[in-house]
Amino acid sequence: MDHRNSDRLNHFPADRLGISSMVGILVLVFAMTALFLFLLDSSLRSSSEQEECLELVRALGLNSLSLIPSGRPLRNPGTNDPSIDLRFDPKLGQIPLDGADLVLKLSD
Amino acid sequence: MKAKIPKGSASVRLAQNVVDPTLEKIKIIHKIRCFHSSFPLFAWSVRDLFRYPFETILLFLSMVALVTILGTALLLSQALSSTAVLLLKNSPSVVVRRVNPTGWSALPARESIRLAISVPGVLRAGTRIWGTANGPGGPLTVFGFDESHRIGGLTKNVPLPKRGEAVVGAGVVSGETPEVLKLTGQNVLLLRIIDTLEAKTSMVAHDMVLVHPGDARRLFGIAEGYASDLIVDVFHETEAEAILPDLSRVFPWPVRMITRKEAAGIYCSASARRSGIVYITIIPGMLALALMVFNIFKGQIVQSCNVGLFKAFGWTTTNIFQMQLFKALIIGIPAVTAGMVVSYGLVFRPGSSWPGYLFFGWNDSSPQLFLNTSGAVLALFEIVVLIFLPFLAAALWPVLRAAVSDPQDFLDSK
Repeated sequence: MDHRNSDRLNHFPADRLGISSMVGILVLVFAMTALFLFLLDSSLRSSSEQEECLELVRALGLNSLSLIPSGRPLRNPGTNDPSIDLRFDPKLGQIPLDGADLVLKLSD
Repeated sequence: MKAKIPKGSASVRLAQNVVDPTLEKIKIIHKIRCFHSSFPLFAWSVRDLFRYPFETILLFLSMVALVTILGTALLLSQALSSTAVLLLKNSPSVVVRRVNPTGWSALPARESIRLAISVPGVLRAGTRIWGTANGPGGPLTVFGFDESHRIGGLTKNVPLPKRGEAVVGAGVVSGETPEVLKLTGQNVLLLRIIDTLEAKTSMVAHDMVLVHPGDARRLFGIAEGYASDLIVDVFHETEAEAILPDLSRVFPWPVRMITRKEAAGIYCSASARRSGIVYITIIPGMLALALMVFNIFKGQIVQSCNVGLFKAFGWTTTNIFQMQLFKALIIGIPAVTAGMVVSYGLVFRPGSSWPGYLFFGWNDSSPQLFLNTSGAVLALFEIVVLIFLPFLAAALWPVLRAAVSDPQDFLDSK
């Protein structure tokens, strides 16, 4: 019984306080370093990769991004009035737009 | 421990702007003593967390997951908005389209430019020949590209397509793409692919095809001397909206106009709307985390007689509160950091393409996004407010109540 008690005393939590504090400090230091690097990266990161995009936007006079696939309403904002069809829409491209088919003929 | 300065001492009587070396030394010693007195408490807090490894790891992982999901949504929304504004700052101030009852129609190029230039405030005016045509894998945006478009670095990078040739965006080509591209609009075109735009331009030209203006006219059925629409530049951003009535009056046909600000605003609202769905789903997660934190810390306090023992040993209420604060910070700070690092990597990794699949309806090849990092700090602040502060409140609330209780009650309960 005494032997057990002495074992317990040897493993009393206080004897690991040194290790615990080291672990805690390391975790916090790591977190702070990551946070600092995150802030550093977000403030210093250059937008060099966007230069070519900017040139292309300027050269072609683009006012839309490729975030959304072609043909979707959001791709070319402002062009899609619900009351207006897109003449150059590929779906409409195969429909004759002269309106002749819309006129009722006598045989109909 | 507080260092007391005797009343009436010389240091007190000194003017405010005079630095007293003795007082400064006392202050420094006081700070060092405070740090030394808190250090064992910090070590004890870490050791106490080790006593409940399952709960500690569960809390950490839950918080990392929550911060990652919310952080990704916030960062993506911020990044897409700022990137859209950044890229479109070089776009035309106003785009003018001619409309008629059947749709938007081609406008006479020279006449349109002459009329637009006549409006006070217009610096430059030009025309574009473009449209949407069916490609082998779906709709593609086709632009007429000639010598007048070759400005800046584009002169070196993009070859000028001749009749029957095309330069395509990174999303148009794939492993099985043949050298010949078939486009279907008002007419059918067969074009030979001579070059591919760099993946870096995916944000604006992923599914774009650059062709000779003559080919573009033929594809969309636009007569010689006509163009798809008109682009107008003004000196200052705010002038764009002011000249819209004048611009619409000057043309003898009905027009529809969109300003740069409106175009950028549409992308910003689209990304915010999509990210908003994540915010809605995250609210129950935040509440669940707060409840879990509250129950875990309350359980640790109530089930053990630690608080009673500590107080019996002479710990003050402040000591107990400090220990709980340390415990919350030791879990919370690394968890928030880890979550932010993961979400930052997901969003800002160069060429990340998953948002295209998830949010914008791309199927096969999604554009590689190169996003602007400004606004990331704001997202971090929002996460601190939305997740870290509720976490801290849920962690400290049980100990606040326990720390002011009578220690005998805790010892009796055991």
